[in-house]
Formats: sequence, structure tokens, C-alpha cells
Amino acid sequence: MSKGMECLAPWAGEACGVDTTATPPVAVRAWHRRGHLRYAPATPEAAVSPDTAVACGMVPGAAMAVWLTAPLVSPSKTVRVLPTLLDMALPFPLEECISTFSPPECRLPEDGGEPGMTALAVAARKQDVERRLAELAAAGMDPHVLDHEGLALWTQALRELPPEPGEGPRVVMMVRPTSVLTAVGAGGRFHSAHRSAMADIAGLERTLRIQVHAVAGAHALPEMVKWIWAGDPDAWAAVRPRLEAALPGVSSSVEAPDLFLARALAIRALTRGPLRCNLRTGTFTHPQSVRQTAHVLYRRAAVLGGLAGVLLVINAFCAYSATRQLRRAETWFMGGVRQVAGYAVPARGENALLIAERELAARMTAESPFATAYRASLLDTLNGILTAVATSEPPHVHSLRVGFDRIAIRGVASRTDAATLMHRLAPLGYALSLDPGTGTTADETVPFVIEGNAGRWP
Amino acid sequence: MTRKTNAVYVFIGALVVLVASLAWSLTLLAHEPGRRQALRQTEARMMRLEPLMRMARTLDARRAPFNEASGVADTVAQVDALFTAGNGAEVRIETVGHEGWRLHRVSVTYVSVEYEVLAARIRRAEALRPPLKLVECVLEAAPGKTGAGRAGLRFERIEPGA
Repeated sequence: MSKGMECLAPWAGEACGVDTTATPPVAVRAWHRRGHLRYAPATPEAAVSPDTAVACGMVPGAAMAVWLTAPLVSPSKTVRVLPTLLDMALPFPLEECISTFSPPECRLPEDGGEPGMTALAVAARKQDVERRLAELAAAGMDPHVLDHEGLALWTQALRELPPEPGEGPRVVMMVRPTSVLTAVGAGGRFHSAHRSAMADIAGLERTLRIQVHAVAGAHALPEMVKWIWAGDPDAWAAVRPRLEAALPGVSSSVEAPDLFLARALAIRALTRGPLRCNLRTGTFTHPQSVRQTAHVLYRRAAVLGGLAGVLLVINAFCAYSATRQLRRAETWFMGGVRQVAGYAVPARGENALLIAERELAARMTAESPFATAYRASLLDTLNGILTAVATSEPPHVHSLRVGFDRIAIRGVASRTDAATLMHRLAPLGYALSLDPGTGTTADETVPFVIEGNAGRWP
Repeated sequence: MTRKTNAVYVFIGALVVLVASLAWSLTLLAHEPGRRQALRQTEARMMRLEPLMRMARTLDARRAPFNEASGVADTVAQVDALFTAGNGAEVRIETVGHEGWRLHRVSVTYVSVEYEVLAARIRRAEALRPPLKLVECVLEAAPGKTGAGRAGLRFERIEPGA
């Protein structure tokens, strides 16, 4: 049984459900158009399109649907024990069967017992599946989906007539002139499905009475049975009064009752929903289903591959541009370091910069004569000092030292005269300072020192 | 291997490639802050390097005319002719070699010299090619004299060659 809500023929663009309980078989074609599901009566032979899935059913007598309960709380563990539980429930070996299971769901017993997990199992003997496929082949049909008719009735009834809040037992009746197909459940939960011959109405009544009472439990009284009628309306008269009298309740009939099962099979094949199952699996899988499934996988792989390709191209571009940006900056930086240091520095980053700074400082020191060579003659400065000294009376200059960076003039004078001399030396461009000695008055003659710094010429 | 199995393998392969691409994207995104920081640091270093490069270019430009100069002067002879001849100056010449050029440091000391004479000799020294550039001058007045005294001069001359 499909896990979750997947449709039975995801590859199909449309589905053709064939109801072989009718004589002759009736068919319904379903398809999607603009997001809406459409369906229309068709003939079984109409399903020739390669993207059309043909869905037929296995009658409840040939395929059983049974609820299994495991005293576990873990769904994954429950999934592992379900085959064993089904094997115990089956009257024949599991190896001879095709089986599917619904996803386990938690179920709290109403009698206060231990909680557990339940799952619906659908199983059919392989020879019954083979026989059914042979029958259909003889009728000119090769279905892609072999659904369970009882489940199809049940889910289609839920789809067309959703259960009302507090609704009690529900019985879906598919009545044909020779047989009756029933699905019983309550509150939207499927319970069981049966097939009876029209000749055995008493047996059918007994079966339904047992099933409805089993389903009702604490939900509702048997008087509240919800009857849903489908199939051949002419055949209802033979069973409806008697059954409704035995199990009173509310009756409803579906639209186009004759096509109800075919519609159910087509819609289940094409849409997502609960309790989907396809007994044509394993060795019985239809070759076209395999092909179409492979095509779907290839298409999805192509989409994923395309996305991956686009992502790879974007990633490659981003990685390349990021690396290139960093490398260009690094190359520029290392080229600059090489230019400054004068050789290829083996270090990187901050260390390279420190080496470049150190090498440049050493070079500036070594090449300071080149800077000096471009300066004006020091003789001009010397003449300027001598002129200033000559015009300053009465300072007596004992010595002077003149360099491009520094001058120093020592002599003897009053503080006023020394200050005047310093003022006259100001145009030479040195930052001058005067040490006027230790005289007591401004006119007292004392030793002085005028010093000046020119700062560092770049 | 059935057709469906092949398709499943192809699908899984595509899925793996997509997951790998996504993982690469995530890795790139995760490394992006670090890359940005590295780039910022490099740019910061580049900004610090730029003035150093300007200075290096300035030094190169200063040296360029000296690199192009040809011929070597006889410093000893020129200094002797300028300062030593007939006036007893004490001269010391020191030569320092560098890659592509050398520096002559010439120290001249006079016990007593007239400043006018001294200035004329300095002018002649600086007019030589390559020039003897005066870089320091120390004068001390002689007691009782005007316009003369002890003098110490220091010159530098740059010459091409190792």
C-alpha cells in the first residue's frame, strides 16, 4: 500500500478505471485540467494513450484487507513486524501472496488497554492475481493498477460524501444484478469489505449486522447507520428495503451510481489520498509502469542534474572570482613589497610589510647623500648666519656649527642681544631655541647657545 | 539491471551531484567571511604599502641622474689642489662602496683660515663635476682676530660605480 498519500500511477497524465462487476464492463476516464480533476464515462478500449493508466480492481473475495495491531509505539518497529503479523492472519503462506501495508498509526484502545500501532494490510494470493490478470487479458485489458475494490468504494464514498461530525457506522453498497460489494467503516475509518452473491441476501444481512455492530462500538448506535448506495439502481430494490429495515439509518445515493466503482478506480490511480494500494507489484508490475516510472525518474534526474549544473557553474564562478580577487590583491601587494624592498621577499602578509619598511628605512639612510645632493648649497646658510652675526653688535660669537639638519651658535652676549640674533636667524628656516645662560639682568653679558633643527628632509 | 534500476541509479547520481553542489555552496558561504576579512587585511596592508612605494619611487628618481652619469673624478687630486696646496689643511678622505655607486666623505680641517678664502674654496669644490657637496661646517673664532679662525669642513661626493 502506498506510503503516505501518493497516487498509484504518478507517471500517468490520465487514468481509466474499469469496473468489471458491471455487464458489460463500464469505464471512467479521469484527468487533470487546470488544477481540477475531471472525469467522464469512457470505454475500456479508450485507454490507448501511452500516458494513460488503466486501473481495475480485485474483488474483496480474492484480496483481503485486514487491520493488524502491534503492541508497539514505534512506527519503524511496527513496520518490521507487520509481515509477521500478516503471516499469522493469513490462511496461506505469506510467500504466496502479494501484500502491501498502510503506514502504521497510533491507536488508543477504548477499553483502556495498552496503546499500540495499527496498520491496514492488503494481501492477495499470487495465483489469484495471476488469474485476475488472465481474466482481464481475456477481456482485452492489461491494467497498470490492480486496486482493492472495497477500499476504492470506501475512499470514493468519503470523497463524494464526506462523513459528518459524530457520524456512526457507514456502509457503502455497490449493488449489481448478480453480486453485492460492500465496504463498512465508521468515522472515516475503513473496517472491512465483503462480496456477496445476490442470491444470498440473508447471508449478506447477517454479515453486515455483525460488521456494523463491530464497527459501531461506542461510536454510535446501529440505528444510525449511514447507507450509501451505488451500482445498478434497478438492482437496489432487491436488497435495499430489507437491509435498511434490518439496520435502520440514513440512506444516500451517489451521482452516476453505475460508474461509481470505475470512477473510484480512475481517481485513486490518478490522485493522492489514503489507503491507496496496487496489487500489481513485484513480478506482476506492468512493463509500461516500469518504463513510465523510469521516465519520471529520468525527468526528475534531469531536473536535479540541471539544478546541480547551474549551481556548480555559479559555485565555480564565485570560487574563481573570489580566488582571483584575493590573488590579484596579493600579487599587487607582493609586487609592491618587492619594489620597496628591492628583492623578492620570501615572507607574506604583515611580515612582508615589516621587511619592506625595514629595507626602505635602511635604503633611505644609505641613500641620504642623494637627498643632500639636491639641496641648496650650505654655503648660503653659512653666509646668512655670518651676515646676521656681523650685523648684531655686540654679540661675540665663539663658534658655529652648520649642517643641513642642525645649526649651533655659541657666544657671549646680553640676553636681549642674543634674542635679537636669534630673531635675525629665523629666516634661515631652522626651529631655533635659545639658552641665554645665567645672567641676573637683561643687560648682563653671559654665554649663550642658539640651536636649531631643520627636521628631516625627505 | 532493469530499466527502472538504471533510472534509480541515474536519479541517485543526480541527487548526489545536487547535494554535492549544495555542500560546495554552503562551504563557499561559510568561507566567505574569512575570505572577506583576508581581502580587507590585504587592502589595509596595500594602503600602508602605498606611501612606502611612493618613497621608493622618489629614491629611484633621485638616483636616476647619478646612474646615468659617466666618468670618475680623481677626488684625491682635486681635494689636494683645492684645500691642501700651500696652506697646510688636514684632509681625510673616506670612501664607502654601495651597489652601483660609491660615496667619498672628505673632511678638511684648517687651524687658521680666512673666511673669505674658505668660502671661495667651498664654492669651487661645489662647482666640480661631480660636485663635492658641503654637508657640515664648523667655525671657531681665533682669539683677537676678525674674519679668520679654525675651520672644519665635511664634503660628500657621489660617484657611479661599485
